[in-house]
Amino acid sequence: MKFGAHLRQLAMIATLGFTIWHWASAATIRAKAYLAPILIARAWDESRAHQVDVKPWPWADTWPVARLHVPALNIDQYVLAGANGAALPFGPGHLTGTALPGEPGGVVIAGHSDTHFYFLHDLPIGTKIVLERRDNGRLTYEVTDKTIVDTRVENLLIEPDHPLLLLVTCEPDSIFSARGPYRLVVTALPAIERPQQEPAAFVEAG
Amino acid sequence: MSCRSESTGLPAEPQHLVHQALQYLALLLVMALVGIGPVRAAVDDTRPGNPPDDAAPITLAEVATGELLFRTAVAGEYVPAVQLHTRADIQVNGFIANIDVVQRFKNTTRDWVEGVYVFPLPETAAVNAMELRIGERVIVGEIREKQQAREAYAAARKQGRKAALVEQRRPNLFATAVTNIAPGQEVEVHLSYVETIMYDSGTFTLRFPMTITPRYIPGARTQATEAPLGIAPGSGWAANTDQVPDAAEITPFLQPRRSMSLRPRNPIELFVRIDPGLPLAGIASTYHEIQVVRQSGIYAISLTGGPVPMDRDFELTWQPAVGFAPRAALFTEQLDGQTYALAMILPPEQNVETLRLPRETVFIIDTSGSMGGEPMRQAKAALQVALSRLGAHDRFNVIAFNDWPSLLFNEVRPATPQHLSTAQDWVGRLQSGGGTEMMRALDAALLPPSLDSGEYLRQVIFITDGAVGNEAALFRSIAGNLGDRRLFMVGIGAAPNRHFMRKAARFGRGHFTHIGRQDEVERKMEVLFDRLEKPLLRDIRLDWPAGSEALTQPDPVPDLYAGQPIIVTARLATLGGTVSATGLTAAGAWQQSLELTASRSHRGVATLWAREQLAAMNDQIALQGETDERRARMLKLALRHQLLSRYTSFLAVEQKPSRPLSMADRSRAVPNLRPHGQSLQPFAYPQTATSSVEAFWFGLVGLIATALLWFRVMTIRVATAPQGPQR
Repeated sequence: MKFGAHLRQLAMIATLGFTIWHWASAATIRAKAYLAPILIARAWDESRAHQVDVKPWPWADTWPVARLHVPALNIDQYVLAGANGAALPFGPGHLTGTALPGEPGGVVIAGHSDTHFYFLHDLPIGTKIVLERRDNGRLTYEVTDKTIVDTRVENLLIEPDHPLLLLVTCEPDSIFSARGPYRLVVTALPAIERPQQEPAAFVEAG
Repeated sequence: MSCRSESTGLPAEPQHLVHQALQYLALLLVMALVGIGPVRAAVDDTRPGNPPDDAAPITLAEVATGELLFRTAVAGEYVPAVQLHTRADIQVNGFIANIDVVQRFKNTTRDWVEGVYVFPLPETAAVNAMELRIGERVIVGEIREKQQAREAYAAARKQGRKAALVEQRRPNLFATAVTNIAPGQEVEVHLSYVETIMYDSGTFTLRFPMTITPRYIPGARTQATEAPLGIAPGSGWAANTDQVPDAAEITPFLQPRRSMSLRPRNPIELFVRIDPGLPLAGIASTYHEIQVVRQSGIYAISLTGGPVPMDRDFELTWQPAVGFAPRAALFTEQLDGQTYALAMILPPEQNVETLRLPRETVFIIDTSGSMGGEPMRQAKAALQVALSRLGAHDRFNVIAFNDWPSLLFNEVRPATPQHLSTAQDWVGRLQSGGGTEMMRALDAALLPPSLDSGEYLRQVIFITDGAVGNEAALFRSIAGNLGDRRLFMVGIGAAPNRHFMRKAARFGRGHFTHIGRQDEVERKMEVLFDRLEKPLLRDIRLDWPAGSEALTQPDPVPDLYAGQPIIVTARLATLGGTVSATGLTAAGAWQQSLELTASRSHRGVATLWAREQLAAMNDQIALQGETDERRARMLKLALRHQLLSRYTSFLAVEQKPSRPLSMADRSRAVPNLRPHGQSLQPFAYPQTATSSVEAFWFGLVGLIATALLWFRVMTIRVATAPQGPQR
């Protein structure tokens, strides 16, 4: 009888350990996502001051390339170089090979659906998205389309030289996991500025 | 949701409430543990930031703005900041073409601008003159050492003087930069070059490339993207990498895809005047509509309907009338007491029945993103034709590659109907996408050791658009690993990298075929397969008369395929005597001689000779690396012959400044047109979720299990506790 209780205590410790382990890992993921912008903000300021790429911490494999604002949702994030495991835990990543904001061509920015890009899920059509470049240039886009794609059958097609912005994040197919083959793709086109404002860098695609 | 600021309202789902609580906890915890790390500049801090003066070099970020396209009244129509209009006048005399290209830059903005245009020229072009024209004024360009020219250009730019710089960035890729163009002003850059006309299987071919297929840049991005002096660093879309240190210089932007207006963008006018010196059977343009006017043996060709957009190569072919096909020709030029000669000798066709050796053919097909659309269809069609030509005794394999090579079979297999049908299905399913990691594919084809090569003729047939930036490394790999194989290049698309194709075939001791349109596939592949089968002329030697001190290129003369002539450039101390060519054919020894007699001087022969010498030195550098000695030799020759090269540039600077220094000079790239038929660029979707959601649920399951166990333990304790004292 006593032995059985002892075993149960051990099992309890094990399951508690299991819980702590998993919650700690979940917390680490969130904490990274939350804390990194503090360091990234400093790197971004430095990068703007000297117009060079600045790593937010010495061992980072990424650096901020732009700043993303969604004024309506109070979103303000730093976009990092590369949409890969080196960048995405810390912020939305700019997909290498696609245009940088302002370059001719499609800009693709990806973010984790459970951290930075959670807001994409309830981003209304028509919302203004502002990208700020290292040289203080600002580009305003307007959300025109949201689609869910199945990556098993579809490629991400970028119209070369066409100035649009694609925000990509995972579309969970269950509440138990954010991972899966589906992606939410938000398309935004350069917004037409009012004529009395500064000359617009872009026109809306006709 | 972590990205929302704290003032945002509570999220609706309870799952995220827990997450938020966790986040705050973790935040506090990690804040305490980690502290704030140092911030370090990843790029060398010694490089100065942008000085605030007006003529400061433009940064990458600034050039990369969308402002290079201006808003116009027509929705969806783009007007580039610097408009480009090109005119090419091509004068053909026999085997030599002298070409004048005029690039007219028009500043459409209200600012002073610098226009930067990266453009292709034929891979054999010898650019030997440049002029900058501003209205009536003509400033003749001088040849300068490349770095000196860049510095002088940057200085002129800063001082507000008009200046033009023309550089070579690859043997077939050049760049023009014109600075201090006043608002609304037009300036012209005139370029002249010489090239030899290709002559193959009784057909003369002239090519004029018009745009660039974007080149794939392999390697890891190097942090310090060094800004070249003078020319804006942002003239390219790619960052420099360890494998392509000059990537930003060879990756010009392309223009937006759609155009609403009927007026072509990057229009070109093209005029060709052919003085063939013999009657012609026909003239045809492969990809454009042309008009031909004949007058006393001279043919004048122009484009039907005026200017065309520069979105595909121009190719003109002509055939001599029956019985007039040249068998040998000599062109000479006297310059500075030296005689320069261009000699052509065409070995006669031999219809010798040869024993057809079984072949071991490895096909490599490029399925990278740049092949998307029309090029991929052409490549697949070419490969299917090639597969159908294999005989039962042949062995084969197919390698398809983008980021990684994938092999049809693990090793070469006999071309049985079963294997062929497997191969045809496999090829039919190939799709384009991804990078162009060519080295890995070449290794997969060239590295496997030969098993019994004595019985097989080993060939590699490589189908690609050649859109890569690391040409030299690939040449080294081909030359080093070729063994007893031969490499045949099949170029695909409206604007392939012909320099890569030609040189890869040269280092691979094979031949280069270009397919620019679907309906050319059958015919061109037939020619290629005839070449694979027909005997070659090998071990070609040229004996020049004693005392001529001949310095020739190419040296040694590469093997010839049926229908190809020997074309040699030479510098001779004296003319006279005969040059005798010998070689080995399947039928035995072959010999032919050509009399070296003076004819009227042909403009450009000396330039062609120097260009060939430079090309040979360039090859040596590609294979064996750059040394000071090689650089000095190339530089000396290029300066002496006034030739644009990897070490020399043309520079023209106006004497008087024209831009008031209170105004800025902004750099603007002139985008190229997307090659005709090329499709959208596909990317893989990034992985955009963490395991945090799963981890949360796992943790919750664990907590519930703990609670259950704890409950069990408590109930056992409660149940057993009272029994103790009673005993």
